Amino acid sequence: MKPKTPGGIWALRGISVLIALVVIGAILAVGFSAYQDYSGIKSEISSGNKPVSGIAVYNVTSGVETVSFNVTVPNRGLLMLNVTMSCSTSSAYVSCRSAQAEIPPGGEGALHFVMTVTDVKQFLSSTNRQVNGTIAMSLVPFVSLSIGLNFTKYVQLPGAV
Amino acid sequence: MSFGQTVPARKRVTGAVFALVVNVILWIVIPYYLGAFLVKFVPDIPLGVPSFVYEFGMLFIVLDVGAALFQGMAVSLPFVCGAALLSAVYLWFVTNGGSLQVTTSGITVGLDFRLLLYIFIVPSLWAALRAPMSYLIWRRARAKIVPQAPGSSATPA
Repeated sequence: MKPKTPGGIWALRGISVLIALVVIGAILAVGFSAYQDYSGIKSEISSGNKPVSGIAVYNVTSGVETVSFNVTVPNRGLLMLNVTMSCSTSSAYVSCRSAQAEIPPGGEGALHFVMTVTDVKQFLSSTNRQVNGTIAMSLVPFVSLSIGLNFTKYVQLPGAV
Repeated sequence: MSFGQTVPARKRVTGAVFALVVNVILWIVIPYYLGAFLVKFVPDIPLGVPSFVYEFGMLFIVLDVGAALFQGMAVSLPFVCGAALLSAVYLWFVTNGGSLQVTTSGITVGLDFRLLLYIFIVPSLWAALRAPMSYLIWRRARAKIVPQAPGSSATPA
């Protein structure tokens, strides 16, 4: 005869189910949010009708050039989305204005990143042309993704012939 | 897991064979072919299956087969707890503590998912804790049900 399951065992099973539900809930929330945010940002950048200028390069005055990235990031997921764009360099001819947006679920956030090359000629002739840029996105508090790259390799300066 | 009933030897052996086959596929065959695939198709990215995956795999096979072979007995406890704790440690190792970083062609991609990793580890730790607790509860319950043998101390003097 099968013995009757004690109450303590049922309690342990209950806790197991609860833990499983928390794990599944976390996976679903992160997965859904990541997919929604990815598709939202992708459609926002590719659509071009919204206030998205993508990467815009323009001259301010002779010899001084500004590379700006202006984008509105939507958050269609379930978690808070934190987006940061920053850069660091030891070059004296480059300065950066970092952009950061903390976007609640269902909201939108404007991201305006500016990199200024104060003297293009000097910058291009110098040996130190490394500008380390970082784009970081995090689904608070679960996951954060950061992409680090050399900005000058990917951004074409108009002064560079 | 149930310690409340005796599992027939035939069922336990079948379970052990099944555990062996599943674990060999999971820990040896899949990582091997995954590693071969990564090396062949993504040679630029330094991804591959590290050797510790196979080492952990061997331990998983031993522990899972042991747990299946001694199912329902107290002897299975070390195997069950060991496998649960090992899976937590393995998860920690394989994800580098929830912080991964890959650098290729001057681009560094970093992924930080520590909180998610802690959440993933909780079920394994709970399984390691649950097994002995479950065993103790069953033992206590059986002690109440099983009648005392004649001539034991329960007989009044």
